[in-house]
Amino acid sequence: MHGVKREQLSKDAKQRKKERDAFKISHYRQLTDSVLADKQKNIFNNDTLDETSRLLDLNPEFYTVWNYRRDIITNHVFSNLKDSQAAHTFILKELQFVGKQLKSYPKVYWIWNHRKWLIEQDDLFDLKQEMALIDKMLTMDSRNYHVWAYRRYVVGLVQDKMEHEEDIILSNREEFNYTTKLIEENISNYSAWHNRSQLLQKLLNSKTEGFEDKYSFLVKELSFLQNAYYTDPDDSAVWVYLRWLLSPFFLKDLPQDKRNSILNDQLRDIKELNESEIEDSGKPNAWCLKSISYVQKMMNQHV
Amino acid sequence: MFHLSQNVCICSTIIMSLHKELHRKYIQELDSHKDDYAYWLTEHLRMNGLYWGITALFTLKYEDTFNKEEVIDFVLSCWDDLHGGFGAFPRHDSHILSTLSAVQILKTYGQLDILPATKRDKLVTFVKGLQLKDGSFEGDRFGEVDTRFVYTGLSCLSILGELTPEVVDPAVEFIAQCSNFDGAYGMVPGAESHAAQVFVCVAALAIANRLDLVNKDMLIPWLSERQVKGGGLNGRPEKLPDVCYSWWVLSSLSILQSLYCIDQEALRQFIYTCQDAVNGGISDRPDNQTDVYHTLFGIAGLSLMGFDDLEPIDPVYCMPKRIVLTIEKYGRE
Ligand SMILES: [Zn+2]
Repeated sequence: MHGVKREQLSKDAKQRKKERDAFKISHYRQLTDSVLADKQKNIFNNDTLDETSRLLDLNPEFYTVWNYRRDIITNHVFSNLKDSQAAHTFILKELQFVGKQLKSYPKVYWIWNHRKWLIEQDDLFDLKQEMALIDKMLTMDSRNYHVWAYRRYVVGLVQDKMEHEEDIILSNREEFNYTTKLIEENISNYSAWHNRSQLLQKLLNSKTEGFEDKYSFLVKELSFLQNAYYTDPDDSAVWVYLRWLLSPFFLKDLPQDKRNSILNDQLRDIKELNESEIEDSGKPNAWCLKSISYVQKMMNQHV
Repeated sequence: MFHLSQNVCICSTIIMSLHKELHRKYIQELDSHKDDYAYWLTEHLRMNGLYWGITALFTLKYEDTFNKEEVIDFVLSCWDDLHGGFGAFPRHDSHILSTLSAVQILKTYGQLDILPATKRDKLVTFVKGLQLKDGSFEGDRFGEVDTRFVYTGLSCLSILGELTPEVVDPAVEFIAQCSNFDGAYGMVPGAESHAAQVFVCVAALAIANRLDLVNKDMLIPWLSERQVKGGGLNGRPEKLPDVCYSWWVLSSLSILQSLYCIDQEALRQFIYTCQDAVNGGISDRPDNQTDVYHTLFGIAGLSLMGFDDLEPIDPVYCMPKRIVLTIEKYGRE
């Protein structure tokens, strides 16, 4: 259980809750019994489909019932449809059911699974529409782990359908720009920094414009990052990303003079930031100190 | 190593003890809340919950609290003969998570042999059958892939003494693909790092005897940076602390022999403040509702740090160390 306040009920309140719960429990247990009994008998029809909707509304984490629902859809709904258009229409309706659930429970694995499974069953599905939903959910919670995973999954599906390499690069570029936008809104968005790290590796490998040369890219990226750590020197996300930009992954291919100039510039700037932190607050900034010692370590490693 | 929490003072009321007896009572009474609607809504987690409760009790050195026969009977009643694994509750479908919990419970009570050979074979076939071509594991027949299930699969087969290179090698390869720019691990290749996923990946590599693949220079600082003001640990940068990360982060650090990287005394105090001093149990954060999951991971974290005279817990299997000693180690002479 996460983020639910502890409550100490009075004797009266406990009694009232008990009475309310008694009713809910008997309803829930009856429904559960009936669903599991029908499941055991492999009854696949519209009634059992409705029954699973009612139970999943009460408990969206009941994985066995999601499994049963998929078996009903496969063995009853799909087998009675005449073409993929009809399947598409059914799946859209089913996605509404899932969408409603996600609104209330955006972190339940089982609901996301069902959504993925549905999309994979539908040849006519419009993935653009799905991206709109993902954008909206990330506006509500820009760190939701599930939504980010789902975003990469859907982008992957979109790219699987692309025939030209340039289209895939363009799509990665759009995703990269999306991370820039989110980071500009909030530099603490580590999920965005992470996705950026994934995308830029793809773009660097594909020698896309602006990414052909590791050195010039690195200089540009470091200045973007610098804006962020000057904005909030206590933000951990930025410093972890900096550690990566200054790691052997980037530095190992650079000529000695360029490597040195990058490290020297960073060392100077972070020291300067630390000085101004001391002036403002009377004490050094922990992340600055840590990063200074990291940069120094990298300097020694490469001499 | 540098501590970000070192100059932060902890809240003024310092609770200096672990309420062992209260936690025992809390766990013992978990099954008596049948007039509470929430009890029924969590049936799909019952097997996992039982494992969490039993492991907490063993760590507290109260291993006789539950009636062993009743526990074993319950576990066996969750056998799903159609798919060949354990569900979380009678009549629920097999899932790799509930299957591992069942195997862990049987192993903890020294009762693995109670499974007849036919069931045991079916179980091994079920778990191995969930492994996909790329080395990953799905949770059940519906294709959800997650490094959690790779760990679950390896741990389960390891406890049963059924690991082979055919299973281990591709699994290791898959995990290697889930490592990120920060040295930590995510749910699938490309997914963001998360401390719980770090635990499953590092522990799976430990079972496979392949810790050489871990980027320790990046991962250890990342793990130590999970400690925030107040001593608690978070699961991802810029997130709030939560008791369960006392397990996910600490166990990973412990496997990498780097527990010294965090301020253990501060973390201990954070765990103490998340106890319910009236009813027992531990919550994710101070003054939140307790549950058996956070109760175990708080206690297990304290055990890893060697506090409170607890039974030593194994960081890879999350079971008492003395029981893990009887599991055959894979890939070692
Ligand atoms: Zn938690």
